[in-house]
Amino acid sequence: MIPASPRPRFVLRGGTIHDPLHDRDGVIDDLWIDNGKIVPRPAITAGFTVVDATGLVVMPGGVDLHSHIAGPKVNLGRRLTPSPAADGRHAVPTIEATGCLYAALGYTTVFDAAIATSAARLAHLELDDLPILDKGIYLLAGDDQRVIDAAASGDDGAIRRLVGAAIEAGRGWAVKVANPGGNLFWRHGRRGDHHDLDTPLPGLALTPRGLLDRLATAVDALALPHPLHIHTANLGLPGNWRTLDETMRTFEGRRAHLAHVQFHSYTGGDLDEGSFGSGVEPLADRFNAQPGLTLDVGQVLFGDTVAMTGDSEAAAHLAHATGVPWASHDQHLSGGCGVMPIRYREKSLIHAWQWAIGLEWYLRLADPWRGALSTDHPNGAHFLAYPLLMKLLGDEPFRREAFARIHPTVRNRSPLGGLTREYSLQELCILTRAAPARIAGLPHKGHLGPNADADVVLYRPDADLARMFAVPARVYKGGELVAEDGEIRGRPRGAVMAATPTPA
Amino acid sequence: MSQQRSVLPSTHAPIAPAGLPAGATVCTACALLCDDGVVRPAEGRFERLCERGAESFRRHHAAGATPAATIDGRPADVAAAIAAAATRLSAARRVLVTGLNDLTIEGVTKACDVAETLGAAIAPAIDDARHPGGSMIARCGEITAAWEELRDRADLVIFWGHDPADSHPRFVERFVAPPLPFPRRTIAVGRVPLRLPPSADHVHLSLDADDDDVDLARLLLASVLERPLGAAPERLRDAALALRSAIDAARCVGIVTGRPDPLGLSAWGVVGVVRALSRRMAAFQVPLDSGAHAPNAAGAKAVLTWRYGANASTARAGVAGGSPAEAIDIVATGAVDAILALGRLPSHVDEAILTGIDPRGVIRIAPDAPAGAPDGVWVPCRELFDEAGTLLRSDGRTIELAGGTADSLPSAVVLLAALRERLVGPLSPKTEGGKA
Repeated sequence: MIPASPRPRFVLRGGTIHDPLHDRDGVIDDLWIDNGKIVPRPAITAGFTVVDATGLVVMPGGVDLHSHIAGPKVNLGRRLTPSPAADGRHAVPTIEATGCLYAALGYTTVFDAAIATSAARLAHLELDDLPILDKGIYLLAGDDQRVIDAAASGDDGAIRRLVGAAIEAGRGWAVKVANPGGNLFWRHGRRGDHHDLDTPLPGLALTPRGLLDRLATAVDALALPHPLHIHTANLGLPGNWRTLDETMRTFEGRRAHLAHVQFHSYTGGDLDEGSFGSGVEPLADRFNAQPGLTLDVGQVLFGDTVAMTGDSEAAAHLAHATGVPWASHDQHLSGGCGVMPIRYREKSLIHAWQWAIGLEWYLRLADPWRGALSTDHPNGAHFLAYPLLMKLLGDEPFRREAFARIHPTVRNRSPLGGLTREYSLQELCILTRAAPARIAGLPHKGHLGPNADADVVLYRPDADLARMFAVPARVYKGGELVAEDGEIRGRPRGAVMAATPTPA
Repeated sequence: MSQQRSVLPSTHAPIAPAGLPAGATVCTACALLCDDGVVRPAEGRFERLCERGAESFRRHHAAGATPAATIDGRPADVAAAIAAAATRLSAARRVLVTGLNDLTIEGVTKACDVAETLGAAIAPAIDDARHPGGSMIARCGEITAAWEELRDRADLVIFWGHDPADSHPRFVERFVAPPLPFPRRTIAVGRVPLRLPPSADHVHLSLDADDDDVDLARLLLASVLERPLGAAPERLRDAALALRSAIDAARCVGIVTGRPDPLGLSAWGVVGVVRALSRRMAAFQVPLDSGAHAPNAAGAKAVLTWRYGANASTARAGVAGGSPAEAIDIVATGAVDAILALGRLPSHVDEAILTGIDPRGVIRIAPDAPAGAPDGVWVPCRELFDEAGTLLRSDGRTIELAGGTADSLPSAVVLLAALRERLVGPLSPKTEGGKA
């Protein structure tokens, strides 16, 4: 065991450093830490404790920019699945366990990606109980009826004021839109009416595309650190790749973040399983050609989990398709949520497609700086499955073995079998910390340069990437040792990150 | 059945603010948490309040001198009472922390901290079993909506075996009576009629027994799913068909439930009906659980769920995976020899405590002096409506309390923080957000 070091000043000596922002790719060097920050090598090194990191891989702390860890829908998920999942872990951990498990995994920053504006206060009360991690929330300001009404009347100033006020009052980091305007279709009882981006919202002279456009304009005018975070329409439906394609077209020449694109990349139509398939190739081509766009994937991995979303339409569709007990709640004029248990199976045609489509997205991503690793926890899989996902990306023979086990139709038709790319350690470092920090707008995280937060992870090199990333040797949060070989060693409070909108 | 009709009024009511203006008052006499009342005691004005709510404010404003804490019936200052409480709780073999429903969310969080410090069991004092607990929601789910959504959208409201006048006195006035831009019908299903003014838009479908609603839900579900109704008494078949007819004519259906239902069969049946309806139209359930004595029951459940993964009792605070049980059941087992009772308790829980354990082991932090037993420790705290903090309505709406006057009694949050400090010593900044 490595001896414990005091928190304030120490040097990690001789580690193999991966710091993509500063082009350090496996460089053996020292890392100096003082008062919770990374510092240049000081002129006087007396007083710095030496921690031997020889032979260990050193990376910045992981950043999860799209997860679901707090708020009413997460609590609904806990109530819906009170028993541990089949593999022995809770599908929706308690808030305490969430912080400890993330930290022990080497993650030090997390965002909850969908909090209704009216639930922000409750979510923050819960996040106060989340140990160790720095955290933030994305507010579903686009579901607020006042914002929608302002968009319908073309009043960009009012949208900006309302969104800015929501961010300030709700201490939000970003604005998320979940199925733009979709809640109105749901509330109007329009079932089975799977609209595209140009279908007018019920009773309004406004389309989902118009709402996206105006929300993104407001987010940019407010100079929020993270662009509009978009869960576009028709999540989970066959043929929805066209909707994602249209969403990208809406943002030509502009910035936007596309959430859990895996769930929006399906060919086929009209619930026809036979024509269900991957629409990733044309989508990735478009994405790669639009530099203002970023994405997270929302990878599906096989096993038991819980689906939860602010998109009531999508939740109802999935619940009715699977017949599971589900919970849905409509907030007053500020969105809603749907929650249900789900088991992803290798031998399910649809689930196998989802698994393959997610991986295909990662492997077609030309610039890993524009992507973030995610399972949309817990929707696609538990965040504890990230090491397995990293192995699937970084170990082509392992991926090929897994591919051989899935539904035969998918094996025969998915382009995944022909993709041989392997992510390097440096690229995995980009995908799990450097890129999500940059995309989220966190200049002090995701790298190991001077003045970065001293959120640092030490891994034991291992040819088995899942084993390597599952149990870091040491995890430091703000310079404090918080986890060692899977055991929690410290419980700092962690900061709540809230954006300060530029005054309207 | 209609699938495509609009259910929203053309103009929407503005979203209610998350918090109230400073000085505004929330009535905490029941879980309805009315925030539209007028409370001006100097002018003798107690308006838009139910009888129970008005009485709670009158009693508070008529109260005399600030009561002193007591230790075994003898007056003591607050610090001494907290010290005595810490000593007795520390010395106990096993502690139950209960109450909780009469605290703010911030108070419940502090209560959890104390329970974790003591390694205590923790359970809210639930005064009924109306709502499906954790295991029931896992089996059948629920499709629900905010009460304002019922008010603004539902043109058919079905009261399923429950009259809110008992548990949530102003519910109908605030969330059903306001007019919509189109007609609203109401139907009461149950043994006794709803206490509503006579109206052509209201129908009572009478049942012979309370649990006839279970069979009625089964028949209605079959009708909604276009399946044969099967064998059933004629009156229940007629009731099911009448409901189906009303549903077919509606744009949005809200079903209000709340009948005490320990087995959950009624709740299960209604969830099935709502789930089937929601496939083709706007439909939701409005469960009215935990009425009197439990103003912040939803807040307590929320905190216990995010802390321990269960919305009811937890055998040892800090350990995930508790199972639903009432505090009264834990007391009845004889497994605890000290109780930290927070806020007002339902009378049957109070009685169980009085008869279940040595009164010297009962520590109360509550606005009212304990009745019947002078032994034990009582630390008076301010009324819930006088606190600063957050409440959660059972439909998911958060309500902020502005806080009372400077000369109020101490907040339960402050007292619980002081108690924990006595138990573990002052918190360092490093551990403030974590666990001891």
